[in-house]
Amino acid sequence: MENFQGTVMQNFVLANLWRALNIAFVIIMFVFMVRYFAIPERALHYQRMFDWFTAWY
Amino acid sequence: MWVIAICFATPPRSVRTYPEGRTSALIIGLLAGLILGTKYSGVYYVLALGLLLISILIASPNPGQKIQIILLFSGGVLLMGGYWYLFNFVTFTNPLWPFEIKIANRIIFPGTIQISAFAATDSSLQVVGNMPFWERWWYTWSDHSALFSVDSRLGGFGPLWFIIGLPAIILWMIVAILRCDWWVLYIIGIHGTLLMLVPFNWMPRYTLFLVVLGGISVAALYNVLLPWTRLCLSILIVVGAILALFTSADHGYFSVQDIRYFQTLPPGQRSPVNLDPQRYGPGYQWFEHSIAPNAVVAYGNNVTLPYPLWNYTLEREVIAVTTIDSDQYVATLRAKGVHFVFLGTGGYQDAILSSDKQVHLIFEGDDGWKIFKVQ
Repeated sequence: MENFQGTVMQNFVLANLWRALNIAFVIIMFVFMVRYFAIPERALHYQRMFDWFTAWY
Repeated sequence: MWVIAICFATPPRSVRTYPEGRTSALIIGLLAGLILGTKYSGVYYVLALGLLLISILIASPNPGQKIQIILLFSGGVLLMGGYWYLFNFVTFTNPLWPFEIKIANRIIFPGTIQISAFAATDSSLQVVGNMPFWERWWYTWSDHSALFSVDSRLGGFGPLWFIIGLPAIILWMIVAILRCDWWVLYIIGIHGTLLMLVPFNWMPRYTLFLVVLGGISVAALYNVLLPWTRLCLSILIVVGAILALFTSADHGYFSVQDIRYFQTLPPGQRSPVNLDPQRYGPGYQWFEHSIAPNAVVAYGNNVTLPYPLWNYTLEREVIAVTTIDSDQYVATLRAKGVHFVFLGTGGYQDAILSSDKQVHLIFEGDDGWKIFKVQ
């Protein structure tokens, strides 16, 4: 991956393609994060985490 | 071991000094042997690393060296991981005993357990059994299961894999295609092949190598991402790591609550069965309460967790007596001074003991366990 930035960012098409891929990457990560944390079975997990935190605090 | 083997088989272009093919093949073989020696599913890893060897074979200059590379790889595998497979082959004529090995409906190595029947009984299939393979992956990776178990059947890899590792692999693959970087596709392809090969491939315990690939992908991408993407990635890594740390502390096999419960028990009840009382049903409970602490106990081929057979002072002698010879089984039990046999209903040894007059069935639980007394 060496010199990747330098090579890509000099080309207008490649630079915009790379920006689009970066945006898609961040969107996918956030979508997966919402998907991961929105699972109902994890409510107990959040409750315990909150309890741990309040007990520690 | 898996990561090191991959690094040796796929030399990065920026590394100037690199072991030549034969040295790499030997190191990969030794590493593959160590994986093979760990457990039976190591066989699939050896096959996958054998595929990685193709790149070294192609790069080697002449046929003589190609043969040396294959021999060094095979020698390394046998040296580090071959002992028990050879032992099984000599003893039972099957290196993967007790599993029956079939290729195209032809039995290559006879055994007492069919892998397909073994796989069909797994408890995770009650939840994901009707799903196609990609939905099984999605289900476990998104961590639906609220509880982590020692077998990690439906508990996933945690947030770092699902939120960061998986998207990073996809992006790394796209970048590799755009750059015609075939090494990257080769590495991802080997991981994909292994994922398809391993049994129970929706269970994280069999596919831990995926987390490695996710980590490599993040490392490969980190310095080439745009600054704001890198910032988002860094924040998510920190948040994911904190949550993963909490999850691993709160969802251990023996959770804080389990250990607190165990501490409240009187000393005479602090036996292995009571570490996880909900897991062990009537068979284990009856055994715990009725068998003398100094008895010698043999467990059958189909007992996968013998530790609950110990008593609270851990003085009960618990031994494995394996057999394929029906005439010798009871004689072997008596020769080893065994008082009781604990085994699962319906197995090969169950049939032998049920028809023997010197052995008496003293308990049969509705959870599939039987206890025999040896006269």
